Amino acid sequence: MTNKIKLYHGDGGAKTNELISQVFLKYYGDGMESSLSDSFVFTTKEAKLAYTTDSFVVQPLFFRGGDIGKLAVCGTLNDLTTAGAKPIYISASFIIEEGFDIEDLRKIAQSMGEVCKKNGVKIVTGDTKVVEQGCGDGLFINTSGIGVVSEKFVPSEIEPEDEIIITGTIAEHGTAILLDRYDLSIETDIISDCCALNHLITNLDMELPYIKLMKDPTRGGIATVLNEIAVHVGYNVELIENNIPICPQVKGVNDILGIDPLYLACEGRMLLVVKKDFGCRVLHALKIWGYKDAQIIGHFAKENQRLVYLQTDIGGKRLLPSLEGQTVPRIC
Amino acid sequence: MSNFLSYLIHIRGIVQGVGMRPYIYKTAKAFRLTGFVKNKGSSVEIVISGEQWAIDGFLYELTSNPPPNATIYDISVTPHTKAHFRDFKILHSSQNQQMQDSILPDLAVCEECMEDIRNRQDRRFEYAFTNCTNCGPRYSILKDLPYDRENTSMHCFSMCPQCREEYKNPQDRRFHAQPNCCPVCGPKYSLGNCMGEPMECESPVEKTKQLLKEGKIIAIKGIGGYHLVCNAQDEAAIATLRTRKKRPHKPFAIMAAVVEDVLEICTVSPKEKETLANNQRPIVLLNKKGNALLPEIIAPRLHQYGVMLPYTPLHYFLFEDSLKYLIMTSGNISGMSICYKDEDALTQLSEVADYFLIHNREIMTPIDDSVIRVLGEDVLISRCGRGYAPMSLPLDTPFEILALGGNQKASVCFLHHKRAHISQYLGELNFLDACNEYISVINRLGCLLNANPKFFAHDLHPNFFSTQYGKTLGKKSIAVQHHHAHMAGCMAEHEFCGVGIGIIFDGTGMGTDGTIWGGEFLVGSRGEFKRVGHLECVTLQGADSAIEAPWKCALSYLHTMNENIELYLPNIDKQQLQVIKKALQNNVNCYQSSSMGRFFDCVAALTLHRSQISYEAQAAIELESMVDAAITEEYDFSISETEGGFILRYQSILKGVLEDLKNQQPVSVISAKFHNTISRATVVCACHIREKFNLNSIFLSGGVFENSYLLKNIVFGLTRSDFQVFYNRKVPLNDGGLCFGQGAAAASILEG
Ligand SMILES: [Fe+3]
Ligand SMILES: [Mg+2]
Ligand SMILES: [Zn+2]
Ligand SMILES: [Zn+2]
Repeated sequence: MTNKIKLYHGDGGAKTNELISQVFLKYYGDGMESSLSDSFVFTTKEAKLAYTTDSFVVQPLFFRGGDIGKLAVCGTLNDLTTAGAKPIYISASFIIEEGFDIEDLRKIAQSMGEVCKKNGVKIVTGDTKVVEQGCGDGLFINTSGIGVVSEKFVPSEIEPEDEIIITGTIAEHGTAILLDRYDLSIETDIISDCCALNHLITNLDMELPYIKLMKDPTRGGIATVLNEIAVHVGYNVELIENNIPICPQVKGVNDILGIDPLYLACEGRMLLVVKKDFGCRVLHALKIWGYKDAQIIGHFAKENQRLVYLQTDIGGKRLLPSLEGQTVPRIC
Repeated sequence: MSNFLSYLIHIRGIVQGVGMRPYIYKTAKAFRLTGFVKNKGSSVEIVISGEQWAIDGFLYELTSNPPPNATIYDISVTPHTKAHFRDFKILHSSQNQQMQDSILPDLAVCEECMEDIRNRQDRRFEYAFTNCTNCGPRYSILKDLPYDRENTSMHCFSMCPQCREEYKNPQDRRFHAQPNCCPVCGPKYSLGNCMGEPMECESPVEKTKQLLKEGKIIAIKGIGGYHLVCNAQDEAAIATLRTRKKRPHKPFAIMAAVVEDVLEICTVSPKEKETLANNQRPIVLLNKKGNALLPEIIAPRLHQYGVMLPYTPLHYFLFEDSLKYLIMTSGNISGMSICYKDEDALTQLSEVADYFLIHNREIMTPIDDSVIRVLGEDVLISRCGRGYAPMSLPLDTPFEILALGGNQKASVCFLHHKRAHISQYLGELNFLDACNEYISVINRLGCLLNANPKFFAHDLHPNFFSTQYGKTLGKKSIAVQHHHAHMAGCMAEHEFCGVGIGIIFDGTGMGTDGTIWGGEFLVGSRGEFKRVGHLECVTLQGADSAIEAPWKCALSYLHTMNENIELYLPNIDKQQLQVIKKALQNNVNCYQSSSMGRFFDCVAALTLHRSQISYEAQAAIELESMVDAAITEEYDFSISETEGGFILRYQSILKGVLEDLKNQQPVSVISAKFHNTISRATVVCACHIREKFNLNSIFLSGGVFENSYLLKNIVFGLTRSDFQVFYNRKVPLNDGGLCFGQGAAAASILEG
């Protein structure tokens, strides 16, 4: 490991894991197990609870389809959702750079309030710090959340033939951020998919027993997240290219830029691993609840090389490697 | 009898499956020696007893006149105690697996066997699986060593009495020819429809010929896999093959019945002729003659054909006067690896081939045809496949290493018992099937060699499948920088152990600074290196997409030079140009690169308006094909010395290209001037480096040197400036040779 923090230490990939295991876990002991989960689940006398935290440093702060505030609340709600939890309380901490526009802060606070209201959760505690000009990038937000875990959701061991569902079209958040951050002069109406997914737990109440794992494909997109899952469960993941929902505009923009949308973040989508043969049932339930673009995108294979690949329409099985660092070309 | 002496002799090398034991038997008999010979692992062990003069004579004969296909690495002779034998015998192979160090590649059918096949009286008349100790399949049917029939896919065909007779008779050409067989006891061809369902026909071969003449595409199972075959003079059939195979432009290989037919379509030097006809029967890249005997779509926009001669009896049967040239291309879907298992072929090729000509001998390892080019008297391997692989080269190190190669043109190399064993070309590791094949070749070759590597050498690129696979193998992995591996491989091939200058021009290689290298001047040895110069870096946008769409390279260059992009890329959508420009300004999906391959892509895109490629390096290959060799002019260039070494600036070169474009100079002139400039600049840069570092040996490697015009020019220029110049010949100088270089570098690094 290098002796200075590099940007890639925050990309959620191998380097982030290296940093966590070599710096944090060493001192935190067994509290933080290395698992796939974004939330910690624990049981008190009264209930089974989930607890999570996340920091948001997105640029730009306002983007098509959302802002940092909405993202911060949704991110935490979604992390609780992955644990099968219905969120109840949220905390919010702000690190604001001197000179930041109060009107902007107001807008951000407002959208946070709206998301909370819409989803029946409350921001109950928080903190505000101001740092000198030059010491922050406008605004950073940290949120944490606590939720009650549904008894019906019992994550269980993934086996070959278990099915993989995505609840909607992919890569819209990542693409929206790209477009807004760099003003790429592309005419499109792509907006971020940023939204709260906690209703999944109630919507899928009847189906929860067949869901083995939920994971929101944020940093690194579905390819990266599925690679993590493949390594963790020890089987290959086979995706069907034609089944992966992606809106044509998102595909078009990324084609031009040479970016693979399978590696771009979603902020309002969930990957579900469903017990074999129950994929259709869960998919049907999702469609009824309005997840019109949800699709069964693949399944776990029996081979144990822990690779993720895409069954392409020309017939080959193209590998989707876990990418380390910036995407640099591989062709010689 | 007191003056009788006895010796134990060990011969290491390619000594099995080449008629070594019958040869030794005959020679020993001739000198009236007694004792025995046997295969031991992959070496041959001899005990002989007789008078000193006879033993001397025997040894002299053995070293100066071994069988034609044998390669002897070394012979050890030690005194032996037991001196009395009644006779000279060939003993059964010992199962001792200690000295596995050579595997014989597959050989083309020999002239003597062809005589049998053509002879109506012979029991092998028109038999497609005829072979003898001097010819036939080896590596492709091998499951394990020693090379005995039980260890090949011939084991399920039990020999008929007549074949067994030949097999057991030391005087016979087929003595211990492991795949020996005949129409009575051996494998057979059968013809099936596109579903593989067998068809009633008297002679599958005659029917196949008829179908070829009708313009049909036939999948034919051969030595190392399936070929897709059609009549090379039938433009419609070839066009159909292109569509079905999803391979719009990549040149197809041609098979011609005899050298005379090759002479009608290509110019062939004596060395090229010799290479075409050797018993490895590679595809040889030959300059086209300017006639229209064959349709342009075989190798569109190129100045060369890849041509080979028949190498199995079946191939010979396929030709006749009205069927003189056949397209013989690997049986696969574009981008994927060659089919060699019947089930895979039937599923993958059912929509490509109209019929299947199949045989019932299993192929144990897939192996593509080799590709060779001849440069003057030098024979250069571009793709190491059938006939050449596995290749064994000396590499003196005590370490057991498995080098994993790169991502494209994958191949692996085992360092084992002081030799390097290089696998066949394994294609691109972007698809699951190719990766599985890659892993099984590693396992199979490792098992054949009885190698148990303790160290793994791999590329620096973290996202290569080979790198990621290497990391799962064990902790003792050694990362070797891509271009250092190219240089070390060139040094090792020439058994050079000192310090020299490496000039490595290729497409993409991860540098030690996280940027993409590819136009590199290195100084160093096999074990270490320093980057002392390079092509000026440019910011390229779009990762792999910039490689598939060379106009993006051109745009990236023009952007940094503030040139009018739309003027020079008139055929690209204006909005797309704007987007990429913005992306370049904002560093979206951009990387820094000093790649020479991308510089060629840039110039090719500007001159040929080739905006999208369908096979690797297509634009650059087409640019080379355009060169007017009569043009000796060049563009201005500058080299500046900086802290980062000598920088070859691209600006003035590109300015010259743009100027010529404005003046509507023909592409052939621009291409020649560009090639000349790169050659000159390379030589000038090399001279600067010589002055500064006082080194005179130069090692050229990297895929850009597949460009023969460039390689010839640079070699000529460097030689004229009194450099000692080396380049790869036996090992591909493209990424197919990367594994060998990684192994050489890793061995030196371990030796410290
Ligand atoms: Fe290379
Ligand atoms: Mg999170
Ligand atoms: Zn023969
Ligand atoms: Zn027989």
